[in-house]
Amino acid sequence: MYDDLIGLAKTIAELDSKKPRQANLRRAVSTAYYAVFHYLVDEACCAQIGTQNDQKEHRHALARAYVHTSMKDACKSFNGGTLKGAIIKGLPRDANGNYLIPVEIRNIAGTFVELQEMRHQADYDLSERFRKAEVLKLIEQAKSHVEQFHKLAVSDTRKFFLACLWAYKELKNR
Amino acid sequence: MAVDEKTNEALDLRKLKLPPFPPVSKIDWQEYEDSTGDDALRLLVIFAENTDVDKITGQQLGDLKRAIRDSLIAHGIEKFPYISITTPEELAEPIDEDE
Repeated sequence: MYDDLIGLAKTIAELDSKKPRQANLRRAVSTAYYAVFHYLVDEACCAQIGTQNDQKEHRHALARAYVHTSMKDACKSFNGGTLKGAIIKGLPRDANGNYLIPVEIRNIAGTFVELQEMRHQADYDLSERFRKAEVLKLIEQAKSHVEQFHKLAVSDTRKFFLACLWAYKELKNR
Repeated sequence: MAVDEKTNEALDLRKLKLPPFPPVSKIDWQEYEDSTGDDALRLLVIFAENTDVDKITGQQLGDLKRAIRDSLIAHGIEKFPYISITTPEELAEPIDEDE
């Protein structure tokens, strides 16, 4: 799903060679957001259920539980590199007492927050205007951050981030 | 230090450690409330004149934004910064209108 959607976002953004139509740029932004949204949800479901083809029904069922605003909350915190005490209670820290978050996680989290806001503007706010060059660069940034995250070795921190996309709201209120 | 002052300091190009490319000439910012009602910042990064935006890679753009976000965090600014980019040439032109 991710590959198709991110490719489609670029195709739509490039549809008009001279005078870009705002409708196309808006659809490109929205499509890029959903590319990253589905990528993260699929990664999270794979971590929960497993990656085998015969497990996809369970992954798809679980995927329906992910909430955009909760994912954004989680991603804002992970982007910042510091998580609230209630979230990281009992987790391993460095010598300074920090729970270290790899930059690959911080970057994809930041891109998700940014894209979600732009998607909202693209879909609902006609006072916002989009420029083709910026939309194309944002799509490239999203691709770059997904690739970096995808290459990140499996670790407890990576799995914890993916779990927080679903569990963050409950965890932060404990 | 007031929040405005801290933000200005965090975004001061003389102190901000940005990647060499793309070159940045100015960063404008304003307070912003995002679509979920959270207090945030809205930043406009203006590249140097004649910067070829086509040559900026996704990774370079991401690294630039990471440097800006980390500077804000280091200055105690927890609001999420939504960062847009443009060039002086683009700012001088009317946006493409089709509607």
